[in-house]
Amino acid sequence: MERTPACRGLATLSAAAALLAAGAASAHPHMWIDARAQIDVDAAHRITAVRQVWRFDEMFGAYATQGLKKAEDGSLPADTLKGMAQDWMKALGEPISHYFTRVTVDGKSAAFGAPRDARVDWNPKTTRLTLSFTLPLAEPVAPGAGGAQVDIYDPTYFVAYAFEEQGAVSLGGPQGAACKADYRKPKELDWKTMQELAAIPADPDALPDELFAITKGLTHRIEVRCP
Amino acid sequence: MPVGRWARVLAVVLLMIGGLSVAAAQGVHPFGVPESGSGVAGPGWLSSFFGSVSVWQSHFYRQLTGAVRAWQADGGAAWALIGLSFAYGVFHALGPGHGKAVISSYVLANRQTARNGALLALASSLIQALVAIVMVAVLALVFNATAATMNEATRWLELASYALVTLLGVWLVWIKAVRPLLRRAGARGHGQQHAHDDGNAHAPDHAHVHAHVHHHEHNHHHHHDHDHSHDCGCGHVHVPAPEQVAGPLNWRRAWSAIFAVGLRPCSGALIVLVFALSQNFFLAGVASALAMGLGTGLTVAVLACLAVAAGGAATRLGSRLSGAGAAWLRYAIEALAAMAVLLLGVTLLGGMVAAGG
Repeated sequence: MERTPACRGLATLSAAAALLAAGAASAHPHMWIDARAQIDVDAAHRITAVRQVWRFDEMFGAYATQGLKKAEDGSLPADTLKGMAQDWMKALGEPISHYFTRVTVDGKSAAFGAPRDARVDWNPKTTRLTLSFTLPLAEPVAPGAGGAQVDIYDPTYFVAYAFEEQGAVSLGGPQGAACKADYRKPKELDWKTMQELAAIPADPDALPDELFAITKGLTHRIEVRCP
Repeated sequence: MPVGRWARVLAVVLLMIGGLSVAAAQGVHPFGVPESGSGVAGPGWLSSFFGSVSVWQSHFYRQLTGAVRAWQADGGAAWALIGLSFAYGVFHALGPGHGKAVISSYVLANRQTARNGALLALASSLIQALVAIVMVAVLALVFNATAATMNEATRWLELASYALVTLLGVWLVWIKAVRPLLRRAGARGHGQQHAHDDGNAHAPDHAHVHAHVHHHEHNHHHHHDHDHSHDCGCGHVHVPAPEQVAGPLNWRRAWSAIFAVGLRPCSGALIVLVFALSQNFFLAGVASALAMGLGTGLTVAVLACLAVAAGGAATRLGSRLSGAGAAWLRYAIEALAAMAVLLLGVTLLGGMVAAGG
């Protein structure tokens, strides 16, 4: 009894309905960051901090500085930049953002202390803003036999990071030279991961850990080993 | 007549719509850029489709800065920016967003023709581009407002847009889902079939029977009389295909849908406009925003036509089963589309309130 056309009609209808009813805004980068990260290693071969420099793309630079009082040469007053740095660090410190950074040793993620030395620089010629900050670990951790994993990424895919500059990943501190850092690019989002991401409830408190578990391999990863 | 199966399938579709919309609730991103969030949800194939769409969208977006500068250096390079912006608009529209949902549901609920659906889609995208242009022109160019002010303005426009979607949904649910039931309950005593009454109420009516009707569309009493005589004359339940109710778009009504969708400017357009302004080349931003709007509009127009075709196919199918089945199916599709708009509005509004207004 007209089963085939019925099914075809329904398939079309439900496909159209699904497509047009997708109310969620898709995550896609609106912001690009050329990033650098330096991992500090102390005398006892423990990781103490992650120093980061994030240079934002020019469209974001133009947008974020729109309407701000600029000097003749296009530079921004120091207190404006300071305020910007404070605002961003505060927002980045929210649990959902977690500084877009995670340090893991033996499967356990290390807690961060309060970030230090946060500053914003503005280059009026290139219309690019740069955010630099140091993210100290609450307690220094030794990488151990399994090494330490430093992951940097935005789980919402709003920001696309690139560690492509010469020396974008390095080791510092008193014993940086004693360790070795390997950088691995994020892999492309695959279907299954997208599906798993989609299944996460929109609960900000539960988000970081779950997301982190699912998005393994989708981060910019720096593997630190101190033999 | 497998009404039970249809009902089950419709219920599933409704649940799916609900599930998809829930993901719209989300928090605020640390860096201040107007963006309505980040939750991707839906069946796997849909997610992966959106995933590749977003890759392409970013691909075009990333090249816009270079294109603005190229045009500034060489007037002939204008087409590169316009082409890139158009492509960005197309992929923007293919990604999830409430615009195409509202337009397509509105078109389905009101039994608009494909042509009217396409017009609605284009008009709403054009309005969206114009809102972005006017907003940046007034706030940034005239008042030299900051990004924070523009984000605030965007949020207000977003709130207004979502509120309008909700109102539109309430109105559609009343017209399409609730009132036909009341009518039918009222008419049962006369043994008349009225299930389809309001299917015709919005589309300009059958020109061959009552050419005068669309002058009185606001007055629903006319329709009651009209349908009476029509039913009695034909002796069967008449469910015209959308092509048969073709007529000029009722702009007065359509504006509600156009503004519901168009009020919230697209963040990509806002950022390009501000960037162009910072390069002292606002014109490039205007051209880019309009090209994005055209790309989005044409794509949503295609989606709206698909919705019309799907709705039409389902109706034709239903009418092959039986007259009553066809009327029931038509009612179900329209009521469902109306509810989808309401659900979407409530979810978007709720998500915004939950995220802290």
